[in-house]
Amino acid sequence: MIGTVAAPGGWNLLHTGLQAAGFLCLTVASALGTRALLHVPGSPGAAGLEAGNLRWTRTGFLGLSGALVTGALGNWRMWGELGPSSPRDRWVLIAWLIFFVVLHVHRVKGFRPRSAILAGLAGWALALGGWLAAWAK
Amino acid sequence: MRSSPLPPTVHQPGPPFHENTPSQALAMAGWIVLWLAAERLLAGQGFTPRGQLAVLLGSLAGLGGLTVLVGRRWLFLLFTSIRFAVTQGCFLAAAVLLATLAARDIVHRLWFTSLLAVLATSMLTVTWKRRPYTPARLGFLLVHVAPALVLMGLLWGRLAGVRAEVRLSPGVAVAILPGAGGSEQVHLPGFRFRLERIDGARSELVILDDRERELARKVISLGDPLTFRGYGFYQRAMDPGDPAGSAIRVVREPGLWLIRTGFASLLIGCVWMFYLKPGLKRRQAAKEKRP
Repeated sequence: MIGTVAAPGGWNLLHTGLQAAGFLCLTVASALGTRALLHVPGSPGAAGLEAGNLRWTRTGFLGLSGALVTGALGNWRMWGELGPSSPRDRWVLIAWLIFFVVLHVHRVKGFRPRSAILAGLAGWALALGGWLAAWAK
Repeated sequence: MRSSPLPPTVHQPGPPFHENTPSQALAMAGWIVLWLAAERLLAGQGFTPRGQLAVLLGSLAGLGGLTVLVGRRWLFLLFTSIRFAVTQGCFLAAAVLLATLAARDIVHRLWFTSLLAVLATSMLTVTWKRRPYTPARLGFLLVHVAPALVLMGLLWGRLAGVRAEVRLSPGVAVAILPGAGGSEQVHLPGFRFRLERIDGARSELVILDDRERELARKVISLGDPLTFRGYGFYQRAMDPGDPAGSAIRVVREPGLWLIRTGFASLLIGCVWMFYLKPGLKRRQAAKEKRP
């Protein structure tokens, strides 16, 4: 174990801010997804909410990507290691992989948008729960 | 009254392997078990982590070459299948999740590297499939090349890089260091370094050549390393039980530029694919609508 001292100053602020922004966007996406699930499938209201869910999921994914990159570069500067050194960083990586899957599910032939929304909701609950638990420790 | 004959039983073939998620999941599980067994076997034979990695890469190259000769079409369909990308993503996410819950390091494990290698190969194959590379596909290209660049950089570092740690007392100079994580000893090429003094959580290091001439000097601290000829000298957290000693980590990562390029490629690609490409499409559609 290398340690848990964070990278200094502004870099750490950027890294943590991107993590929080990523999860915030995914929370908005999940809220829109939940509302879409309550509509009749195929209705115009559901289609709009599904499109919104995808847009916010993509923005959240970008935020998490930024958090992973700044985390890796910060760890390199700090320890000479690129891998995630803290549990929070690991949960960001888990969330990133889950939403890598979710974004690809949208493009699988025969999958309904609802499948991707349900997968996203499950992934969001798991990853956000783990990330918040890592914060609380 | 005659009963009508039963219709002949028709055997319905299942979906092909590249569209069959359960079969892919089984194959991925088998792939992991194979490399877990190989890792155990190689470690038992005295292979260092570097040697194990070389065996993995050699086997992948051989296996890949053989499959290209025997079933190129099959391999192409599999590696460009979105269902296969989903299966791989699920396995990777599950692996990192289990490692996090069990507080284990999997980044340096052979089976995890083999999963990443399959992912990187898939990404490169998909990129190849999407030719020609028009501006609209630039984001897709950058995003899908990024994991391969990062993995290549990491593998290069693990094959040709240096990771060592040493605890020094002031006045002691070293040129040979014990490798970190069970890897072999590290010989610094043509120079050595000496811990000059400890000042709180900082250490002053001096780099010397064979004739004791000073080549570089710096007070290092957490997040402020000394870099010399591609080697980074990092201050580790101080041990309160040993105030007279300082732990120094020595790292050389030759593939760092590839990793950084991969990171940049991922971020630029995401922005291009998610935001710039839809904007370009809208502008194009508006142009076409105009009389």
